[in-house]
Amino acid sequence: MRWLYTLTGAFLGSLGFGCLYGLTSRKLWLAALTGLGGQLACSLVQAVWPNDCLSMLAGSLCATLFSEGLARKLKTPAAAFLVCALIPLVPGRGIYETLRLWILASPEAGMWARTTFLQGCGIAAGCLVAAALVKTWKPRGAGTAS
Amino acid sequence: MTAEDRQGRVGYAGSQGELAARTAVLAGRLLLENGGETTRTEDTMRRICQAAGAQVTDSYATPGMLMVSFTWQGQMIHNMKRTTPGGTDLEKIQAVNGVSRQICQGTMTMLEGYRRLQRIALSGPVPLMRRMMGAALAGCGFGLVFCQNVPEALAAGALALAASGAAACLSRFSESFRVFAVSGLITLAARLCLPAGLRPDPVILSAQMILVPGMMFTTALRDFAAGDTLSGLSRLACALLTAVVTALGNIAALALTGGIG
Repeated sequence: MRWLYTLTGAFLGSLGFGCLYGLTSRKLWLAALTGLGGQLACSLVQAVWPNDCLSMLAGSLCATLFSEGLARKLKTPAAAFLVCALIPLVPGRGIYETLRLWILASPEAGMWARTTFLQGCGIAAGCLVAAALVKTWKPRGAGTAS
Repeated sequence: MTAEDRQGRVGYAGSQGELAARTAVLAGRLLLENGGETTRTEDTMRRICQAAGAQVTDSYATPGMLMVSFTWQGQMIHNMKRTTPGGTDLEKIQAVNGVSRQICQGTMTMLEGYRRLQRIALSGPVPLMRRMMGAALAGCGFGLVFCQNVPEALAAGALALAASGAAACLSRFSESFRVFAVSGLITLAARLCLPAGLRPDPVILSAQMILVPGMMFTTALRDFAAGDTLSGLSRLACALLTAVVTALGNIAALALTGGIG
């Protein structure tokens, strides 16, 4: 049941942010599906190997590669899909709790800061690895989305 | 936005090189102000200039300004524009991308591209109803993730919907004040109006996710990934400041309702 809630939540979260950021029609649904895929990869890795950094890396790698593939197929910027897809992974809760507890001078702030930092590093690493893969596999003579 | 852009004037009497510089900078400004990443902006500007026959093209963009410099028929042309961070509109980014692509493929003239970009610049933001619907969906989604039950997720969706409406009403104020006020209103509403049996803390957290600068954080990461440390740091600092303001609004409302000792 926990997985169902988490995956449905990721789908709705990406869909909602797609609406907020002005995406329409097919691209909106594809962005939401990309978000679902990223969260699924993250949850799968978390279940097998409970590590914040690794699970975020897997989620962001999956979402970035999927977004880049869609961008090339639909001739549209990858950001249109990636921004919405990464939002369920972005440690918004961690950033918020860290700052809230820090302002309240709670010692738990440090623990939240560490977790948030590791999650952020995992997402950044996933983006970096995906960017490197996309650059390496780019067909000769192919232009970028612009 | 320049006076010329605001008036939507479409005629152009300068050289093709100057027109290319104006078109490139307008495209770059639209991308930066609507949430595009720095590398894409620089790449788009460079390609537009090269489509006009420019040589030795250099383009440079940061979240606060952009400039382009190139040689066209032996003449050095430069253009620089100050940009102000705006909202996020992915449709505008896609529209600019489409214009840039057509100019580069030669299926659109530079002047027609410039006119199209001016029309994109004059088009309005994402409609309020769509933003409110998006906020409600996002609130529900994060409610499911953080609360793990449907009633609290629905409450979070309703709070996010109301918060989005409140943010629209406060649009005349600065971004920081708006985030502070809306964050406080979410906390107040959750602590005072939630039915018994629903936990206020996860509901507040879920509803406030629409204020968390996820887009800015994601773009900052993409800038870092592309090797653009300056833009990445700048956006990351903005994202952290927004998160601080969100937390301050929450704490102020908690203090008002006796939620903190």
